[in-house]
Amino acid sequence: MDKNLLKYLSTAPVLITAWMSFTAAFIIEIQRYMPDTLSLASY
Amino acid sequence: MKRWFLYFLTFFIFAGTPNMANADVAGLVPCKDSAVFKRRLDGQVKKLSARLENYEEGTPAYLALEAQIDKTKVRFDKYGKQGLLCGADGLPHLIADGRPSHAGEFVLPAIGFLYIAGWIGWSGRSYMQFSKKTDKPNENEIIINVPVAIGMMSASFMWPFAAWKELISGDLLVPSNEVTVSPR
Repeated sequence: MDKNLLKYLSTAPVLITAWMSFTAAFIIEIQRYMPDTLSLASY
Repeated sequence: MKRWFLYFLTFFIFAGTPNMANADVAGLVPCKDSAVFKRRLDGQVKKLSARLENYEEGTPAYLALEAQIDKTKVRFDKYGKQGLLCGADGLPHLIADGRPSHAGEFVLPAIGFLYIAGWIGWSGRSYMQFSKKTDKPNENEIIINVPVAIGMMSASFMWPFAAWKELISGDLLVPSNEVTVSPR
């Protein structure tokens, strides 16, 4: 891949957008499979 | 005479006090035994079921509402089984005093939060220390060296032990006179 493209993709705004998108998707999927978690107690 | 009166008064205060009803922490009752909690469940299911009548069976909206009804029933059932305590409002109240029987309500989430926050902080700190040693520290802070950063993020899962090791060896802290302060 083009060295300058990789350097651009490593800039802080691009990385924060990518990382926050990943984190949001991660949390949303957790809510899909383990919804309404009020307590971490087992049952 | 006065002394006898005092003895009788003390005795009757203790003996005459009615017994407390069996309630759990802070006068709350387990949600699975709470009538108001059950009433909230029935009310929510009833409202959703009423909306079902607006749609044909099998349509996406109908199926979505049915899924919502199931989710509601599972949620109330889960809160009952987990041993959550409800107040007179029929809503779960979390017990945060640290007792083991209610550890999942506050203590475990708090430990989870501190671990994750520490992970993030330790990765950031490690990368900053790496960046300061490069020949272009300011550039490395705005254009991140991604392979190094990912390495630091992966290694930081052991941050409590790494931090303890650095505390013991004296690398974690610096003396107060080396900490810069704004001009006074």
